[in-house]
Amino acid sequence: MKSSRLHLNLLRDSEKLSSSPVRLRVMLPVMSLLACAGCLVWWAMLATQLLLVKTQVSSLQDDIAGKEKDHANILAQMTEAREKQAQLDQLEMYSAARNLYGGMFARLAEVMPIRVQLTKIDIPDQPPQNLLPPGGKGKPAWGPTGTVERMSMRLMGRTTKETPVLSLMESLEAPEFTNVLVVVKDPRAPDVSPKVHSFRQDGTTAEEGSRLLLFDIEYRCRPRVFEKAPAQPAGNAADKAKGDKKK
Amino acid sequence: MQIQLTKTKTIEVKLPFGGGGGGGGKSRRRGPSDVVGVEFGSGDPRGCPAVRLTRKKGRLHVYAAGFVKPPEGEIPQSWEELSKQATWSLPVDFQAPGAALAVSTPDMFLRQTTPDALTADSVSAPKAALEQPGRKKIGLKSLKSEPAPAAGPAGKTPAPPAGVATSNNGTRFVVQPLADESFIVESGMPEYQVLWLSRLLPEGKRPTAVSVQAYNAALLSSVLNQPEFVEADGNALVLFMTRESVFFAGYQEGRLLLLRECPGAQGHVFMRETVKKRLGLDEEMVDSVLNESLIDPTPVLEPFARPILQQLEISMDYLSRRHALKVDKVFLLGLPSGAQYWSKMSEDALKVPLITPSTFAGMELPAKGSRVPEMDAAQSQVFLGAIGAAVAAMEVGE
Repeated sequence: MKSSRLHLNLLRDSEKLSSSPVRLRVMLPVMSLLACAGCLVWWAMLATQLLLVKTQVSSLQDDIAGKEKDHANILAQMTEAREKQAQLDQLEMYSAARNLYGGMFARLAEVMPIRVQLTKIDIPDQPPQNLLPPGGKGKPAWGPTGTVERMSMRLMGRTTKETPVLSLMESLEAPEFTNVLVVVKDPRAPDVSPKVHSFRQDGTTAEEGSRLLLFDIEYRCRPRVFEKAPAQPAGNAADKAKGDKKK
Repeated sequence: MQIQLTKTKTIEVKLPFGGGGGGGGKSRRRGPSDVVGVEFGSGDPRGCPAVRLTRKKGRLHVYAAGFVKPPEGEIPQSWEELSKQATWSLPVDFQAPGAALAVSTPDMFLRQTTPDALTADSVSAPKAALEQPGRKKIGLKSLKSEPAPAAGPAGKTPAPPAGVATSNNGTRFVVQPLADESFIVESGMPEYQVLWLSRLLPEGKRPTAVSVQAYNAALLSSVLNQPEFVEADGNALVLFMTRESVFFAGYQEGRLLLLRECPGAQGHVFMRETVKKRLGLDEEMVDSVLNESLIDPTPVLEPFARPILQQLEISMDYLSRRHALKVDKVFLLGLPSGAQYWSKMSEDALKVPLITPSTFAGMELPAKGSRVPEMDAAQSQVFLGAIGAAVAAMEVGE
């Protein structure tokens, strides 16, 4: 069936009105303007944000530049503090390594037999350590490699007979001396103390014409330990403080 | 495509792929898919018949049908009354984007004529008739009509392009060629009435007028979607019975081939009054008598129907001889009651029954029944003009 063509419309196109309340001829320019305004606002916000970020960056850069000097100063102070702390630690180690001999000498006078004359009491220095690495090749170490120093005390003197010396050696085995001196009498032990280096007759004669005997005895002492003193527990420290007060 | 340069100069641009051209070669596109057809000036006490049609997947759907309250103002009868512009607001169910108005006024016309006769009419029109009083600017729109068609080289006025509303002698008219191209169909009404109707439905609110058609012209499209019409490949003769006139329309392959008004025949209002008087019935009984078989009103109807059936026979004979169109189906549309008696009389006289289908036949009705009142085929005839206007507006967008 062909198209009928029966629309006998008496209206012209120009007389047809739009039923839409939104008219394109009005809304298009309005929407365009709104879109432009929106874009402008958006760009303005972007530009503002960019400006803010740039300002923040420059202020941060200035701040960092200002703090670099302080930072270097702090680093130097930290280095100095570390050095001081190392010195303090060293001093503390030395303090901990201190062996007191005064009390022992004072007691020594009390137990000294009549017929014994001490000619020399010597606590010798440690021989210099070998700082070279094993095999002797390479650079030597900067400082001592060990933290323990062996200490010894040599008693040299004169006597008229053997008995007073033996009496002295027995006296030195008392607890007042063994906190300083080490006594190991077992002959199978590798390091026996005291060690009698010599016990011989002196060539000179005494005033009464009697012959004198020279002796040289070495006692091993408690070693010097270069370590920090272990921190005492808080409870123990408090108890100790209470005990001191009671006393 | 025509571009108007000035008031008097117009150029025509022909675009490839059929994008240009004017007149009969004008490109056609599908019209709107949601239109409310309203019969304006029906005289029905219930209101103006209105039908809202939508097109979905090539099928027409009836969204709503009913009667709407007419506008407050009266259609102008002169240019002076044009300033009394009324506005009209339709109920929600009928607020389609576009409205097609089928206007029934005494001044409208629909006729078959020839291009030569149309040209002669426009040449003989006195120029003074163009200068109508009151043709001045009212509101936002200029009321100036188009100038009269310029005379051609031979002194003849060229025929107006088909399907384009044209003004002449204070009358707005539009023509369309028939299937037989030597004839045209012309429809029109006074220009001031068209202008008034164009602004009856205000801008920016649904609906607005997309089509203003004479009522009789709108009827021509009302049959196009009838299933039996489609089944007959658009070859049919339709007897349109309006309130005050009767006319035939012959279709060949869906195109109008013949348009003839029955001379001396009056519409169904006169017929109804005659039955009422002759049988001594009151107003309520007339429809009962015409729709039921208790009383046979054939003797009363026969004097009324005889000349019309004679004209029907002449028309069928004309179509058969002149166009070799053998019409098998004859429709009787627009008659609200008594169609079965007309069919019987036609069958007795011409051996051709008259088909009176529901005007909504061939369309999908809404599932929600409240939007369309329940009615039988005879009662649905009152919506014929509204449906025809909407179908015509949806058929072709201009």
